[in-house]
Amino acid sequence: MYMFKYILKRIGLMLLTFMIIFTMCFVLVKLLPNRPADQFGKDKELIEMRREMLGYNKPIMEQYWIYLFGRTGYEIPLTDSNGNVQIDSTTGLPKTKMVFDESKIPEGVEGTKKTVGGIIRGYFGTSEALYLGRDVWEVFVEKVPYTVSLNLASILVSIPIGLALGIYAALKKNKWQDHVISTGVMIFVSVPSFIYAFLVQYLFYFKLGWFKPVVDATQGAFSWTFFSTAIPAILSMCFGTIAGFARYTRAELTEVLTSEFMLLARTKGLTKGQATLRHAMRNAMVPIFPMILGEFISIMSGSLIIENMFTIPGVGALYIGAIQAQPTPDYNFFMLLTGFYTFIGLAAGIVIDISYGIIDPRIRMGAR
Amino acid sequence: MKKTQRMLALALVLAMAFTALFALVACQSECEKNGHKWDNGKCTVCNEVCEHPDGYSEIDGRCPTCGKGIVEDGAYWVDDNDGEYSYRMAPSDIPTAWNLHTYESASSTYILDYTGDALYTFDYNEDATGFVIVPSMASAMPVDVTAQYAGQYGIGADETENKAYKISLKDNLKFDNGDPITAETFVESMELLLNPDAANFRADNVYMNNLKIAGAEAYAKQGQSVVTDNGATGEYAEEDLVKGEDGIYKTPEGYDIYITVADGLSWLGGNPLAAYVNAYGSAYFGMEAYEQLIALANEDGRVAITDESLDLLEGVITAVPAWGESRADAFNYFVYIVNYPVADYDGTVGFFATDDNSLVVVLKNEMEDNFYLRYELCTSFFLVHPGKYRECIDMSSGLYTNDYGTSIDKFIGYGPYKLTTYVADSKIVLTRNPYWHGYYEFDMYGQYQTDNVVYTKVTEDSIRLEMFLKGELESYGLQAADMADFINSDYLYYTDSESTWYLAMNPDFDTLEANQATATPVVAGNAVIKTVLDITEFRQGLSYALDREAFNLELSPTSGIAKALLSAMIVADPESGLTYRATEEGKDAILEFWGLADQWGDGKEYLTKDDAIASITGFDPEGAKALFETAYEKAVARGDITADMIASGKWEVQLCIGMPSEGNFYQKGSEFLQKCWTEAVKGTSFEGHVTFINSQVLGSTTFGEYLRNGSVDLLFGVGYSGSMFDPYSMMDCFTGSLQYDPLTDKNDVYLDIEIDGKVLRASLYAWTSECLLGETIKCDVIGADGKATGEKVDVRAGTSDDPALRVKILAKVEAKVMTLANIFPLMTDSSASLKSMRVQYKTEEYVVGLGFGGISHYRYARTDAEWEDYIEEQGGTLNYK
Repeated sequence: MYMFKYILKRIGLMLLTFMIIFTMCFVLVKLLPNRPADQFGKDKELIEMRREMLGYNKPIMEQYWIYLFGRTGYEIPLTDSNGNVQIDSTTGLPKTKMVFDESKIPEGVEGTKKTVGGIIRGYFGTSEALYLGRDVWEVFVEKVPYTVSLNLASILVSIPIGLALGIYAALKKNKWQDHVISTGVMIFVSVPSFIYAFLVQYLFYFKLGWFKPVVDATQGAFSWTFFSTAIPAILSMCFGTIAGFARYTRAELTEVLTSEFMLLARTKGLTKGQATLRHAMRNAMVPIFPMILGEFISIMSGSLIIENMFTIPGVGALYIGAIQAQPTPDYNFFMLLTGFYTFIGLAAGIVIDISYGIIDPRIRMGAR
Repeated sequence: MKKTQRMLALALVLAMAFTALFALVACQSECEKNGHKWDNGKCTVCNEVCEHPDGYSEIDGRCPTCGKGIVEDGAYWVDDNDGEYSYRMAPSDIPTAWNLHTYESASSTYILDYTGDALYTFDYNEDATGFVIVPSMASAMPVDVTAQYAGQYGIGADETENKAYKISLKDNLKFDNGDPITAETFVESMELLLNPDAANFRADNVYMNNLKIAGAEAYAKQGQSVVTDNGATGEYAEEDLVKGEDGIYKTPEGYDIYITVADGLSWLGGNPLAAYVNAYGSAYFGMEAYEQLIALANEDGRVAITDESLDLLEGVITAVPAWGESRADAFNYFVYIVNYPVADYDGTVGFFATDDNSLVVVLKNEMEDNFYLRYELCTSFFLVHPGKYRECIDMSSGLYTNDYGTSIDKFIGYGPYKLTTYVADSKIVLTRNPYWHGYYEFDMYGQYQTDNVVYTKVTEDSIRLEMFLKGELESYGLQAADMADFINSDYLYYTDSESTWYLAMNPDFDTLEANQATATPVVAGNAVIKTVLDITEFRQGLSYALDREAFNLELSPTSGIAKALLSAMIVADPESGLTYRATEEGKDAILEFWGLADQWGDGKEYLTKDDAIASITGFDPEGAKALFETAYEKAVARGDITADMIASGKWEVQLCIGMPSEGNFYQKGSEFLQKCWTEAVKGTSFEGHVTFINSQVLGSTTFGEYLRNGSVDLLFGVGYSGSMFDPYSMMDCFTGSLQYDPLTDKNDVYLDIEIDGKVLRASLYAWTSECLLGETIKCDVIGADGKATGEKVDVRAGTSDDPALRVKILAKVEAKVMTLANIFPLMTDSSASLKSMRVQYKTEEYVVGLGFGGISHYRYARTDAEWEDYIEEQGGTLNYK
């Protein structure tokens, strides 16, 4: 019951935090300069017409309201210049358009009052800069698999190797094996991943010719073609994660191995291996498991540099691209990504906190 | 037996000889039918290839005479080869949208250039030294049919206004899915382009510039009330307005026109008058008149123009002399409102079909049938697949959106290649479009050897170079760091661009003074002085002190020293291909600016104009020091630098350098300038007193605004591009709304030009932004005493006027802009690239308009498979050094 109340409370707080962050981001991004510069041979009036249609000239809070809840207007059939109603080829239904000014409904046409748009109806808008004309949600969903695929492969390689190296270093504490591993860990933790990326590319592509310089994404994110060409990218991403896991595991396990209960376990007659596996590892995993969980939760966040270097069409460059888009930021992309990653981040916090209680029953969430 | 064998062999040889003779005769006759000349057994036009355009389809698509020229799958005429040829490139981005009506990114052309076509296109002239414009989708050149439409689409009954041209189309035009393209398809595409619900970004292509299709603007803006800044367009002066019975003035066309205090005005750097009045109050403005003026304003901050309101405006802007304006400047504070009525396409837009293969285009700007008309019909293109396009329109959310041209499923092309693979942000593959009309045309034989065009996104230059050296790319754009390695390569090609990059400065005393009042000194305790930049000699000194050659060597080794505003690639007379810099007028403009006008000729320092121009480096440190010293004396005399400052030594001339981006060019460039100028003032009174700060990052498209409104003191490495064939329109950038120094009123700068034996005087603005753009201006005739005689002469130098007159005015305007010393030429825009060993370009020299030939003319020494084998034989890496 304590746990249930605790989770409800955390979810409530999460939603409140989410709305505050979301609103702040909307206001802040709308405050960025967004008026296109004059261009040689361009009609400013035409650009202003489009800005008016996009609602950029409305007060920011009105824009926010429309973004959240949509607009109410009149739905009328969409006709071509000959007055023929256009048919949607995918649904077979007549196409419609919205008119927000009742006086602009053509004579003889009856409009149906309707509220459209708004993220509460699942409409996140279309891109006005990065992917001009495309539904931002569709683009995001199209790109996420590449990022997930890359990150998943990287994590699946990193976790066993990282844990194994950490355990081995802990068991060989202060011996040459530990020193070698620790030195390697320090190097790989300190050097940014794009440096490995360059080295991997130079060595495995240019010198040895084992791999392609960039990933082949033409067959999809979970195809063999993608995985086989993404090996250099996966390697580049792995080094840092492996080193991170190894360092953390070594530190935790070293501490646990010197605990008094380990002495008790040995005096009970357990072998070193049995004591380590049954007692030391379990205790050491309490902080390590949430770290692993965190890695899995973050598989949807892209790596800007690695994705760029290996031409992986993931989400890595979307966020910064949305802000830097010219002549105006890509508001809809920015808000979608802000909402998505804020939600993931906040939800991950709850899941990780709850996971402590599952791994170690002694930890009781929400209990006084 | 042996005899029989010998007889048989002889018969066989004779048969072969007769067959060969028959083939040659047949070839000759076929080629002669096509107007080709036959010489020594070979066609001089077709060279080694036998051409039988009418015969190829008779026997399995093979020439019945010589067997060459295969029509694969019964569909298209290609080169006789057995392998695939792919042209592979690795740009740093892949287009995300390529809708012809809306695209904004240059990368969109990676797809559009290959999947599109135009009514007319560029091709080589006979000896491949220049270009000609030839029909592509059209079957012939435009025909003037103005007389047939007199009284319609704005064409006057006497045919003096607007022009109508008929364009005939080829009858085998198809989209890449096989759907036919007719004249009606073009008309539907135009209607979709101008759709008022869409406000398509490229709709203005057909009404804004040289190609002004009658009714296009009115249709695109129907139902809209458009507020226009009168100062930006310069459309109406006070005396042009017509007073109504109610005492309110309107434009001659009847548009409402207002004095505005709330709208942003180009005259005020995009700010409204109210912002200036609030900021400076009675220091610059008549506040009493202002209060009365705003009392008359409507809710939009606009005041109807009456005699009373005009007097009040005059009271606002002329009350304080420091503001420096007169009643004549009042028009800059006007906005006018154009209401576009709802209109049907038919009868409004001068672009319609008369039958399946005939289009009529009515032009509002009376463009003659010359290069500019054909050029616009080459480039201002808009054809889309109407059915697919409409499928992609969505208005259900209340906003017009259209995702045509965002994926293979949502795009249908009509060019030589078809989009077959598209992975956003990753890869594009284009393969032959079997329906393209060009593959069936005799003139195209031997072209388009390339079977596939492949783009792979690669963001890092180093990886791109590695790919090139491993033979995986057909070209590589060299970076500054690569130049040393490949400078002697046989595969190195230089490409000049029409752009020139400038050093632009703020010469406006008022904004400099305002900025210096709030500036923080670089050296604590110093008084900051910025107004020195207002002194012409100081700006000239900065220009002469800049070692352009060293600047280029450090930052852009492929670039040259710019000696004028317009580059050597700019074409003055497109009909002949004559470049502007090759004209005497173009050379004189350079010599005049650099002070060498009378230093060439017999017995002088330079024998020819070209010698004199070649000697210009733009770097004269001693001259710069002298100019700085003069500027110092002027600054002291004016009180910019006071005796107290000199006595204490606590003063600094602080220059804020605008930084358009965080890029290496601007970071290192700023360091270079600072080093150069610090060195240059040594030994002058400014020594130790010039300091620099870099601005915040200004944005790659908005940086110009910061100089225009005086927020930064100077910009470098900035300029204008995109007008290789029309420098006349481009000059408007230096006097119109895009100019870097709008605070210098070009209406107050006068320029005398001798035309037909008379010296004519008009403002720099009138010559540039009116006369060269095709408007008739009234010039004062100047007498021998340098004063106006009272006689007025009309001058117009638009696209349909005398090319020699246009060049003369252009050169004078260019020299005048440069001598204002607000903008200085800095560097040319050139690039260098390595070409793959297996590719052969059409020409070794860069040809204006065609480059080195483009994909249509590239030839390959090896097929893809052969090339792969060759690379392996070479050990996997090629040596291009």
